[in-house]
Amino acid sequence: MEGIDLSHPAWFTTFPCLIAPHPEEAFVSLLLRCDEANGWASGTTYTHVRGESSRHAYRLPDLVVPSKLSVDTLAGRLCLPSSTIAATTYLSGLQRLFETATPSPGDLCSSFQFRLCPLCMNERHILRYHFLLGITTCLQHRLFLLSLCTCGATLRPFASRTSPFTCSVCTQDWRELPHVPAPPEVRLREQQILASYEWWLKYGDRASFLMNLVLQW
Amino acid sequence: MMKPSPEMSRPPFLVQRRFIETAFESRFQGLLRVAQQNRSWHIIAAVPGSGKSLGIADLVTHRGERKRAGEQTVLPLLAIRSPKNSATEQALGQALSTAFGVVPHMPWYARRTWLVEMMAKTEVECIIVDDAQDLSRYHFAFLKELTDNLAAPPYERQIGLCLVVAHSGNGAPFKEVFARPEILWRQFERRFDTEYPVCTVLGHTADEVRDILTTFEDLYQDQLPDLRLRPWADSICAWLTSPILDPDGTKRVTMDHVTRLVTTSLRRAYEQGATNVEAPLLSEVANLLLRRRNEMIPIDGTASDKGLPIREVG
Repeated sequence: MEGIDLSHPAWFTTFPCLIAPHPEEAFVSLLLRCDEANGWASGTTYTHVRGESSRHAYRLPDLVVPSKLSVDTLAGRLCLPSSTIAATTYLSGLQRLFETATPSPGDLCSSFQFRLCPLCMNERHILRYHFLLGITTCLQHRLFLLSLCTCGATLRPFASRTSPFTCSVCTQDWRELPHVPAPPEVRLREQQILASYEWWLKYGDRASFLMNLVLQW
Repeated sequence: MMKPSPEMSRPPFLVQRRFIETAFESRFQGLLRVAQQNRSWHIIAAVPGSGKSLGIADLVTHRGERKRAGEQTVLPLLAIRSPKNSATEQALGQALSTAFGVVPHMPWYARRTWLVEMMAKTEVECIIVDDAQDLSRYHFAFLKELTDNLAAPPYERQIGLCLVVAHSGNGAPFKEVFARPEILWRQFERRFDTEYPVCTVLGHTADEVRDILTTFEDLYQDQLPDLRLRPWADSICAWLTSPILDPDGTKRVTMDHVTRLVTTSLRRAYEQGATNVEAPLLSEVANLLLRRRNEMIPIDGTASDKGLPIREVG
């Protein structure tokens, strides 16, 4: 993206500091990096893109498969095409697979858990596949994903008055969380699970998906 | 055979709105640049219609400001207009925040800290407040707090400040405000530049008006090929420094008056099919500028492409 100067109308319709998604980065990670780049408490960007003036409870599934409105709003505020932001979600794959403009998080997984890789935190990002059901490891760094802080608190993406990428209870930076190596057999199995997700989201169609479900039963 | 009317054969008159770097702008922007360079504090006054706001808008763009993904945003000159609807420090904080772009809603305690951090991060060197005559006591107090916080560790960043005021009369702007006994005003006044704390930027002399007219000749050459405005510089100056348009008797001309006189005259000449503008037309428009201020003009009938029907009073 070219830079924006003050004579460009986008100066006044975008956030003060702009960022762009990393490859395979998750939507929630982009929101956190936006908070960090702009010096805001975690969750400030998300509250804004949801069109709310005060912080409300968030749902992790809505962060993995957000609404199109949230995607478009964030794209506008970062002066990026909506497709660039949509790439941080599974929206386009789910839209194609389920032939709907408004897929729901339940179309992707029946449940979600917030997990992160401490080594990914060095690059200040969370990859989008880390939230998929059946994935427990970071395949890049060969580590188990963590859902608890060393203080025992459950890791949460956003918390009031908390800096992005830190524990909401003990304020520890997520980079400092322990590294737990994942054994090769777990990684191999999860590579296959991920490949399966990717195949369905890229090539699968609704009819064969339903047929597959029937055959499984 | 009917001769086509000039209006039918020519496209509509096009007003040129390009920024002109006049002598006033050169003096005014020069002061703003000094403030940015030296991080000094000034009150800069000029009569309404001088071109202060246009000069600020022209200066703040292309001064190294930029937003780019993955890079730190830079905004060396932070220019705002004084809040009109509220005298609170929050209103000024909101105006300053908006200069950076869209800032999500946040509590005031968070925003005042955020502003200091963001101004340091984006390398702000000078704050320019336009229409500063509307600033309240709370706005001044917040400006002082903001600049003090930036000057203190960990930022240690000196910030220039230009309070640009629309001013009339000979008294110094804010004279009564800074003469008040409260310690805030003494602290505030102490921060102003030693050499040029309060300046009045004067309008245009006859020679400077001649230069502006030369620029207008170039700008409208396409529409009025034989346009010659320079010979009328002295007459224009005499009309535009009459007591009605120059109540302070400065004998200087504002850009607003020159522009109104020239563009209205040129439009009329163009619509009459002329390729130049003659003295009687300039004089007629000058008279309009002088007279119309105190007249009520009734608007009646139906609006047409030619504009509103106007019936003279009396």
